[in-house]
Amino acid sequence: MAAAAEAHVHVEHPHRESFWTRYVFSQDHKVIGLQYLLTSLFMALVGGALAMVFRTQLAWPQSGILKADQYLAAISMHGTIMVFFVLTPALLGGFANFLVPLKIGARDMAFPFVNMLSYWVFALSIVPLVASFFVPGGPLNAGWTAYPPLSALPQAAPGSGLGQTLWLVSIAIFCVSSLLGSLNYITTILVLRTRGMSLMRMPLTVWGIFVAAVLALLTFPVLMAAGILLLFDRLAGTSFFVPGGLVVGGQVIPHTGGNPLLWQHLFWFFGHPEVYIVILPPMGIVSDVIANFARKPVFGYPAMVASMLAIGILSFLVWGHHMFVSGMHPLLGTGFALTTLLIGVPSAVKTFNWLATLWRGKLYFSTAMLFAVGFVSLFVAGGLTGIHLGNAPVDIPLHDTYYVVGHFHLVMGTAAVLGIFAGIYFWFPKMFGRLLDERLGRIHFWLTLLGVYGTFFPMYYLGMAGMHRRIYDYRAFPYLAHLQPVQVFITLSAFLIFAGGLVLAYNMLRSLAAGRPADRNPWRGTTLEWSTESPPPHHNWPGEIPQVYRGPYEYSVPGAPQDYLPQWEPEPAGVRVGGH
Amino acid sequence: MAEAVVEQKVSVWGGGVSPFGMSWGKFMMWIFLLSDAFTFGGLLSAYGAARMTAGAWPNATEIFNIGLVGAMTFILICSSATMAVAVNAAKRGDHPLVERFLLLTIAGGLTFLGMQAYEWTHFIQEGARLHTNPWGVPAFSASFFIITGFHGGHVTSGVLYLMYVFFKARAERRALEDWQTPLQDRRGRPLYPGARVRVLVLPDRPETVVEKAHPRIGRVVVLLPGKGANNAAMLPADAVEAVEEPPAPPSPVDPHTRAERVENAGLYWHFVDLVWVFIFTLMYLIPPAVSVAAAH
Amino acid sequence: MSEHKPAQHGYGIYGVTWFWLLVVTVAEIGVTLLHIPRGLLITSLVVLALIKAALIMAYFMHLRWERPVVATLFSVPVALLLLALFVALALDAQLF
Repeated sequence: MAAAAEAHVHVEHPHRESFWTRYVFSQDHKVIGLQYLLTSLFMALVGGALAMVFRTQLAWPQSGILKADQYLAAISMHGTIMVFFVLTPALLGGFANFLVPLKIGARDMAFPFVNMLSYWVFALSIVPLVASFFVPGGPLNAGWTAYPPLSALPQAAPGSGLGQTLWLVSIAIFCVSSLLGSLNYITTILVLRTRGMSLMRMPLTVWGIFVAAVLALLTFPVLMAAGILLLFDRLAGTSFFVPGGLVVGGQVIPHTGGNPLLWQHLFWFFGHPEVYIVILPPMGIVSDVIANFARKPVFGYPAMVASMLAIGILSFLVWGHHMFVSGMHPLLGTGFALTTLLIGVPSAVKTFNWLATLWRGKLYFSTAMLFAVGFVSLFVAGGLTGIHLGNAPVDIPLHDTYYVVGHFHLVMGTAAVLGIFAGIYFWFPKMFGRLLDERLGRIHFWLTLLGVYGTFFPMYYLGMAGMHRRIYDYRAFPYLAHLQPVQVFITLSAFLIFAGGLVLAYNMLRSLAAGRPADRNPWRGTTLEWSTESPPPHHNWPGEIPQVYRGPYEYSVPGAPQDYLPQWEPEPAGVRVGGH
Repeated sequence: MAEAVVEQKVSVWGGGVSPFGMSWGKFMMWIFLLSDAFTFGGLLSAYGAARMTAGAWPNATEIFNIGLVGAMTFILICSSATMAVAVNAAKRGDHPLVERFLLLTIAGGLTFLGMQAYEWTHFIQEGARLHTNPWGVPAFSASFFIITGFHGGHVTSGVLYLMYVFFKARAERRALEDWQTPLQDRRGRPLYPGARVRVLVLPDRPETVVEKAHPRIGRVVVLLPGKGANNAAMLPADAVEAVEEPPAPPSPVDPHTRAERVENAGLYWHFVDLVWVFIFTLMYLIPPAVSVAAAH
Repeated sequence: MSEHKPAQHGYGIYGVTWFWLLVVTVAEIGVTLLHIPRGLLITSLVVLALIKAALIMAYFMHLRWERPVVATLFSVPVALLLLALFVALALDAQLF
């Protein structure tokens, strides 16, 4: 009691703030959340524009709009920006900040100042990244995974010079920001829940954010450790990752005795949990949205929670499946294949539970719902091929081909993006007090869905045909040259996705100015954020923090006055609520 | 409190309480340390891998003065013990003891850093550099410098952290002592009755400061308005006539907050000691299967 | 802070912990001087280090007096995950 009550005493103070403390250096979790979200949406435009450029190069290699090193820089920066500066901060930053206190019934995060620091450290980490576009040699060429020796030897590629160093600096700063954020999310979720908000009454979005924050807390430091060692290899001549005897540009390099697999292990010890960091919160968002627009409780809520926890634990133990062709120890290959197939089980549990939630629901296809169902579709289309890739013998011929590119873009890249879009359409009225335009939303959705399938599904075919990732000009290989029409089709589809993104940007700007005003609870939702004004005032609830009486998904309750029972309303007479 | 109970079965996980029985500040320190453990875990695992990749490895017990390293370990354990005493004293509210043991801990940390600087100097004089060393295994000196350096950085920030806690604790104790000083006029006489006075209600004041308890408002201390603590005086409480808004006590006086600041610093400090246990074992004591000698 | 309990023990326990930490440290240095097989030596060094770590966490960091869930959550997963990382690295490092 005491801990939770303490933060809430300063409620009555009238809140006067200048423009700077209110919108720039704000300590209000809602403002910080929006700062994170808008920054990552902007970065998504940058990362998306890069993809448009290199897709043009791939569709029409004869055009030569990118030189080879520019092409490598573009794909590397696209990956880096999308993973580190779009998906992670939009979810464990944007939605986490905005939603966690509102959904668990807290006035703010546990450490508002640390929270503000986390955003500004994140903003700082963008500076070296963007600066790397303007240094001699350009940004890194080594891909977002920055495998040495390409990333360790400044003379290895044009982008392996200052651009690579700036990338490492940027990622190291980002690790700090992520640490500050996760400390806050974990503490807030565990300690600041309002009365009655037991763990098994938390909305699944909060559960997803919680598990993702734990993963971020424990794996980003390992990336940081690896990054420090790589920086020493680059700047001080150490040889952690560089084996002896390499010849670059006719010159024998002075390094000896390093092991490039060490980087791969350390990187993927972070990297694999990272893909769950960006998929667990959307899983939660989608569960919330589907339950709401199907007007049904989430099917198997305890199983949903258990599978999130299982995914969280297993995600630490699967990293080696990124290294099946690296010549790793066969025993490790077996072990990692086993854990990888195991993690498919909780993922399947979640998928079937979403389907069962939809089953015979009173479905209403708002834009948010469309995106949520689109998420499930992409998760299946991408996830199933994960079972192929998780088997070491199947992975070996497919490794590093477009098959893998298609797989992870569907299951973790675009699926997470669709989850973010669902969240934006669902909570935009809570964020700004106005609804997004549904007609534009539908256009956005269909452009995105058709674009995504048109882009990434043919990649499976390309992959099986032997098209490798990161090839600048595949016409050099006779068995790939005839696949150019497929590449053209993919590029045209990718343009659709980008166009969809522009529609969203226009929709957001237009709705901010002239959208339909939203009341407190435009979707007739059951969770706590819908109990307060839209947008919520400073410290979230003008009066007392509501108390929680039941689980988060009491829709279509028999005998209830409305078709839903919010978490914050006491039991009406004569109504028996099942579940938790 | 009765209306707070929503369920029949009240669980610590049920919301409205801290499930760990600790405040969120301390909880955050703990999970920060978990995170930091993974930074060191990553570095030490990389060290282990580098050592195995290299095959032959210099024997650290022959290169470093194990007596000196043992002494460093001894110092760090001592400073951890003094820190533990300071934390316990802070919980009891024995503030002078807290400050004394914080100083001892800081001294231990500085001694450790001095010894580490000496050890590094010696090692560098023998020819060790980040990228090379006389034993022909570059990873040996590289991992040594990076990992002990990273740990030394933690010790340094720990010392700075403890200094901050020390000065904060001292300033708070002094402010509180000023505030609690019996109130007299300039010549040391108690104030005359009936003066316009401010009244502070302090239910948990130490006995020594209070002469008499008022039957209605409890124990009181009076301050002459506008003249500060030095010109204030202690009055028999029943002589007080005018009751005004109490001036704010020096903040923070919450004894829990004060104790916890020391406790959190203590957790960090013990963690640095904990990491050293593993560095000591893994980097100094475990002998290589095949050892190499220096090439001079 | 109703949860906060003042320490229920005196300062003596820190002296005892300090003493045993020193004993184990001396033992660590001692076993390296013995001529025992390397496997046994490494095993005993690791066990001794874990004893020291446990002493520090239990008494200095007060985990003994926290709720059991705290002690479990803050030690077991860390140890297991770092062990997994190390085992994977070790298996591969010998191959390279």
